[in-house]
Amino acid sequence: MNIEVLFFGKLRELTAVNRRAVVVKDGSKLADLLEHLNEEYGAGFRQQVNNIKGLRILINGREYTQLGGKEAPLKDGDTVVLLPPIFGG
Amino acid sequence: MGGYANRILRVDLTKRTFSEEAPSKELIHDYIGGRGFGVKLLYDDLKPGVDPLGKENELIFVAGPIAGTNAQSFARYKVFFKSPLTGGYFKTCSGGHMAAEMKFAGFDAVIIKGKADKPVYLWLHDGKYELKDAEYLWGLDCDDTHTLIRDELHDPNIRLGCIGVAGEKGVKYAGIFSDRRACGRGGGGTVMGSKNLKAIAFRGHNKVELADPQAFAAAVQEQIKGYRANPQFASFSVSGTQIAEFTNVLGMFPTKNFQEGVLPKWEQVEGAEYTKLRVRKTGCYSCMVHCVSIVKMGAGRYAGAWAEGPEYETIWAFSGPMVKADIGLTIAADKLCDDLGLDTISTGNAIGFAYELYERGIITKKDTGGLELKFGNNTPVLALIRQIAYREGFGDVLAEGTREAARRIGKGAEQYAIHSKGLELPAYDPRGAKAHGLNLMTSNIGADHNTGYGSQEVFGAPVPFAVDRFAVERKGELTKWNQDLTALLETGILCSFMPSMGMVPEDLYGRLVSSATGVKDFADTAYLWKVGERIYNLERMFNIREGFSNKDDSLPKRFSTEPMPAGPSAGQVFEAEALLKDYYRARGWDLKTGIPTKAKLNELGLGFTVSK
Repeated sequence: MNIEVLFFGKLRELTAVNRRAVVVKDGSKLADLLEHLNEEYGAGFRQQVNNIKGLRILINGREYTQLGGKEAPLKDGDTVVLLPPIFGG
Repeated sequence: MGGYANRILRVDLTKRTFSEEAPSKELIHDYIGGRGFGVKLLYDDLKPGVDPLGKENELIFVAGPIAGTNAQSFARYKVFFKSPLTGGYFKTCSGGHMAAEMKFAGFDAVIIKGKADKPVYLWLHDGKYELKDAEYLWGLDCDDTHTLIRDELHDPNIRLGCIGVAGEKGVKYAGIFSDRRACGRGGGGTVMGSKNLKAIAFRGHNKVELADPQAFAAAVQEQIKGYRANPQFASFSVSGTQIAEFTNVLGMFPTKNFQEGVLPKWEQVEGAEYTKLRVRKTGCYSCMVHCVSIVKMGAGRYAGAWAEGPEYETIWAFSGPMVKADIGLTIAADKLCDDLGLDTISTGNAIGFAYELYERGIITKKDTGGLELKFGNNTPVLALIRQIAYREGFGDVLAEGTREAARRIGKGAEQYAIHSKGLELPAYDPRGAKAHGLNLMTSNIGADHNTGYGSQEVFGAPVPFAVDRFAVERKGELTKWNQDLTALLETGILCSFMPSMGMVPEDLYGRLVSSATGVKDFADTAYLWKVGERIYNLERMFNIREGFSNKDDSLPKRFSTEPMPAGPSAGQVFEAEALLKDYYRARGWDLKTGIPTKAKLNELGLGFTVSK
């Protein structure tokens, strides 16, 4: 299935794209998508995803923590946003 | 007592008289300073029903007890008045260097009433004060006013707040500008203009004395260490508030006058695009964050256009309402508003309102003087800004604010005026963040995001608890928490970005204020929370005294009746009734009237608001 992924901040630097479609197996969870990206982009990406304190992940605009964390199920056409921690107003 | 300048100045512009007083022990203990001083002084001084543009209204400039010290992010000053836009209590706030210079000049607060018989500016320096002629400044923009006052007084380090043409012409949302920082909202500049007061200028050499310098220094060191250790510090230093992507990915970046929540091609106005145009970074007095950018267009239609900012709200104000992601136009519009002295939020919102009326056929080219206000066409924006500031053509109607403009236009225009209590909504669609929306709905000054920012929903901040931004449950409690916390931290006056990043926890804040002033109670966080709630409730009682009621805690029906049509907040409505009831319950206010109960007022030491 196709997942649209949006990258910001350091993750955008590492992937060199703002957004892209990622194909994952049917029934994949958020953890599977992240692992797919880790494998594709390598250690630098993995380190960022694991070490950015407060990395915010949105699945169709909702916090992943509200949807089961990294076990949150994905479906075809979902949009996943990876945001660095920024607050303000 | 440390921290304070121990001087409040009263100025009567009609009589051209001055008087001084020291803040009383009760005022200091019960209200701490900053926003606490402002609301108490305004409540005590104003009789209900005064004309916001009449001689009896006051403008109260306030600096906090920490301003002018080396503590970080306490550079803000506030201005208090009865608003010509809302008819109620108003507070407006800005960073920069004004607050510190007020303290160096020897003032905690300056209370201005009356009306000068001709344009003047107020010059306050090292404990002295005088009114100076400003006839030669009348009609000038904010930049030139700064330059000429500094030239006249032969001191480039003078800090001043001034109005532009918009304030002189009585635009209801004219702001007060200090070196391109704005006390923008609610018409503080309008009140200034009504008093023939072009500017208020400060310069001084006093040192802010501290009650316990050692303890204060230790708290400042802890604060600086905390900043450096905080992951948000580095990222916020880079991006500041130039982050339109955040609300677009949440589907709550208002477009088409709050009909939709995602701006087409929003990537063209996201933070990374502004970073490319950055000339340099700048910041407020004694703040290591330096969150502000100076940007300049290098090429294209707006080549050469530059601005300090634009901040998030302004990025929205000149893209979302007219549905056009155009970074050059946004920068040019920001600069123009700063020059003319306009609040960018209300200006952009009012223009979006005009666009929707035009699209619906409620107004035509005949009304707009030939301007074609079709969504996607931003060509008329700069012309409209000028028309608003000078009150020319259709701009004269929009200069009244959307509530009054809609009343004048009629033909059902009221339902498209996106305001609360008369104050135009900022850059957040309430359908996408229920606590944030509830704050816009209930804020004592109308739809102001900074009164109780829902950072839990907008930025995913997990404090005091993580939330689902669409949920209704516990949003009353959360909104009260956000509003009271902001009120208590604005006694200092701390920049509102810091608490949402967890950079200044309440106990550290308490140690800073307590060691600066010597008041032991200020180190007690339970006491601080009580002061925050006291301030919030006194503001509420100011409005109740003016005839406000639960009916004024409202948002446009659109948000409750029209589900968000598409995007990451698709299908959401704002559950106004349930949210409001939950909020009143959390506040301990009467569930039907929204008036604080006597028990609540007595608990907060505000019994005098009902016995008078």
